Amino acid sequence: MRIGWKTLAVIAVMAVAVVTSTLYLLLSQPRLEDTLIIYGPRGISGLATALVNGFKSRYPDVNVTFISYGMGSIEIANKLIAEKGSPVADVIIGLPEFYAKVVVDAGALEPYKPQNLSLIPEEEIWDPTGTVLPMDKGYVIITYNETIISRLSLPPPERLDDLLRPEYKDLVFYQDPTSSGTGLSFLVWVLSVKGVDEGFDFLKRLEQNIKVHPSGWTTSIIALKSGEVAIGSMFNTDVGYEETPNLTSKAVEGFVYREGIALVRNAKHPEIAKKFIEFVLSTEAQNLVAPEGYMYPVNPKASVEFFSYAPVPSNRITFNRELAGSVEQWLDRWRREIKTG
Amino acid sequence: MNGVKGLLTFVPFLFFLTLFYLVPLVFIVGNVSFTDFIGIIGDSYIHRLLYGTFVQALLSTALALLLALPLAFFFARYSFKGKRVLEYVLLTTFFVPAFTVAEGLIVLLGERGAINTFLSILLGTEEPVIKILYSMWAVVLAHVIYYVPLAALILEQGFSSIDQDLVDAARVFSGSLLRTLRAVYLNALAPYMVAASLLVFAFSFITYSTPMLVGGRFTTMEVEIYATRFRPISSSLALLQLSLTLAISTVIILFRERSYFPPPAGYPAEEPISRLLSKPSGVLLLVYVMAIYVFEISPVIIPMINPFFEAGQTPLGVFRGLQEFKFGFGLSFNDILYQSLAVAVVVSTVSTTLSICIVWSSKVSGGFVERATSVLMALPLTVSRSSLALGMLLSYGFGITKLYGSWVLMALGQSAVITPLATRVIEASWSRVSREYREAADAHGATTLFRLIRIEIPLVLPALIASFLMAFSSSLSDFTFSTFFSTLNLMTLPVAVNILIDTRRLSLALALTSLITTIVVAVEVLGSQLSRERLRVM
Repeated sequence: MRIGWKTLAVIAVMAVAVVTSTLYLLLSQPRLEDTLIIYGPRGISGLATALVNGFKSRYPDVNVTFISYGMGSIEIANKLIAEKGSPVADVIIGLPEFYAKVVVDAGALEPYKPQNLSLIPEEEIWDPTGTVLPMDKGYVIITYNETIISRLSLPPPERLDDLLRPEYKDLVFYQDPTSSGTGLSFLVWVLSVKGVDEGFDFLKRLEQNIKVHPSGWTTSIIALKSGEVAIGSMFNTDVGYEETPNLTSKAVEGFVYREGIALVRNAKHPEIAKKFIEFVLSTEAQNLVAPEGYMYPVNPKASVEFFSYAPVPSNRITFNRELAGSVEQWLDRWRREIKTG
Repeated sequence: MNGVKGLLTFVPFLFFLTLFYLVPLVFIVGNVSFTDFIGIIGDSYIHRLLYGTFVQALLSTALALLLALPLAFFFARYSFKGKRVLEYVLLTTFFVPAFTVAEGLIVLLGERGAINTFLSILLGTEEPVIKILYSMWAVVLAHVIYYVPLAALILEQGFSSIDQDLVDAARVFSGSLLRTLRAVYLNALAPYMVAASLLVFAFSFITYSTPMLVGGRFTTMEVEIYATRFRPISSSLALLQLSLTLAISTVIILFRERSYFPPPAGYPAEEPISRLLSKPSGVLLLVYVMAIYVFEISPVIIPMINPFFEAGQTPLGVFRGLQEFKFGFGLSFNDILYQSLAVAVVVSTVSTTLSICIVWSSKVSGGFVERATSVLMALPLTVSRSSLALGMLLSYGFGITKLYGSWVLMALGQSAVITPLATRVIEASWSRVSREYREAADAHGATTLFRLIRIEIPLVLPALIASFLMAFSSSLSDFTFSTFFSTLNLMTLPVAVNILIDTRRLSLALALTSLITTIVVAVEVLGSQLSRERLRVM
């Protein structure tokens, strides 16, 4: 049986392409079972990358990877809980303060006190069990587009209750908390200040002014850029962001979003996981926090010069611990009563 | 052909269905709690979501079909240079990330968008004239943009199957255009219209990114699955969604089975486009087609060029910015590009090879097996991608195999959704391999394998290349499986877009999205040049 040269040529090109591609993929991938696995939400992947790179330069022989499965902070925490019998991860990072209790109570984490914990001031340590260690923090504040607010001769918003002003109708946004960390922080901020039932009443009244609940940061920026919205919740470090002209804030009050790092119980690589946690608290790693994202370091020796432009809120609201453990019910309630109510 | 041999020819299809769909879906069903399932069936909130999703899908389907009909007629009846390229380019919206079209809609249709600004000036009002963004209508509009090309492709086959002599005879004898339409067109088009309706309906029913991006308060079942994903209730919701889409698929299959007839061996006669310009109705049709192209392409083009205009940078400057950015675990932009290309090559090869096996075995068997395989390949098209990704994560990621973190899992996921489309393209071409060639080969004592390698593959080679390139561009632009299965060591271009967004580099992210879109369009145009074959999806 003779095969034509055209067919042969196509087969040869395809064979070379497939073999090259397969070899490239095989050789460029380290085996996951030999790897220190760090879980964390997708939104933290920029910082996680920098931390992993920094850790690799300190321990060049260690394979490390960060896995988010494209999940948010609550989902990745739930995945960790679901896997507690046979954990995949060694360390979790970006665990929000308002969900830490659920993961600690589920027994998915192992308490660990790193030798360099003294680098972190007492007031930054928020988990009373000491299992989840502080990693970074950010400030969610009320921002506004100064150009639009001035053009409409409106007073700039300062506090949560200001958002209810009737003259702000169709100008306000806050992100969908089911898909956005900033949106979830805003929800937790409202509930921490007002309590659950009163908080939901506030959110229902706020809907009259809401134009849209963007699905995340990018859609918020696009809505701000296009002038669809003018007032809404953003991280303080988004103020002055080059692509949202005239986004500013009075920064009278804001919510302190705090997230932590913890060792996974029955981790496959506990010793190197502990080294990673120590590294994250070190000044070297904490210096990476500001340039690689929108959060602040918790180690006071680390530089925050990168955010010198960002207004830090004078009244900083933290999570009301009495509410711990109910985030999923809040999200269900938000979808049912606020978004589609 | 005896029963055993008949069953053996089903093996490639069964292998595909089991490996890529049954096993992952079994893992999802295994997670379902009976109490949760009963709970959601009686939940008024879920009823509300289902009703909204249903109405939205119905409207999307009706509008998409209405707009697609004249377009399909145009492509079926008239020939001109560059026609295939135009057809392939039209499919761009089907392959580009949903985010691109959503951004295009915001820029165009926002209250301060281009269209409203123009209309406000025209009508001398300060109020926005069109207020559909962030509502169900924005979702419907986006779906119409996505699915008009798909519906047009299916309907084009219907128009092509109509004998022009029959139309002329009906015109002469009935003397009325309306009667001609009813007697000839409606009868011939009915199966294709039902097929297109059901497919567009199913796709509109299962999308989640569009409502998330432009739907505002309007939400769907798929968004609810997304919002509760990785919680036990999500599996119950996914099962309910799956049952509904499977019911729709079954209707498609039953209908196809009832009205199935193989595609014609030759190409239908087409008139030169110059004839169209000789009558006013023809000019009107041409203007309509051009308007549809503007409607379809502008939401894609705007996000493609916007980043360069806004950043005031040249594509080269943006490319340099991408090269300087450190993405992953020491991964540079070039590493990600190579990984994306390598995964795309593997996925294209797997899906094209698998499609060849499925089509070849069904053709060898002929009769019922051929028909059954052909119609059953429509089944996977309506399975929700996020549910399938979740099932693959549970089954192959951490279940029967521990593939998470390996490129193999990403390739498996992408191949699962690309293979049914590749099969459609190859099947259409294979059906045109003349029966005489086969019979001549058989008469000379050629074996089935000899016939495959020496006759059939060379004859369908353009379609194989087109299907390979289509799979290649689909893999490059895939967001769902890439996001689910990437780690810092394994990253594709769409995931790199996410990383750029997470690190607040929006203009670079948009530039990279535009780069992906450009590659997709270029590959499609190349495919159209290499293949003489019309695209088929049903």
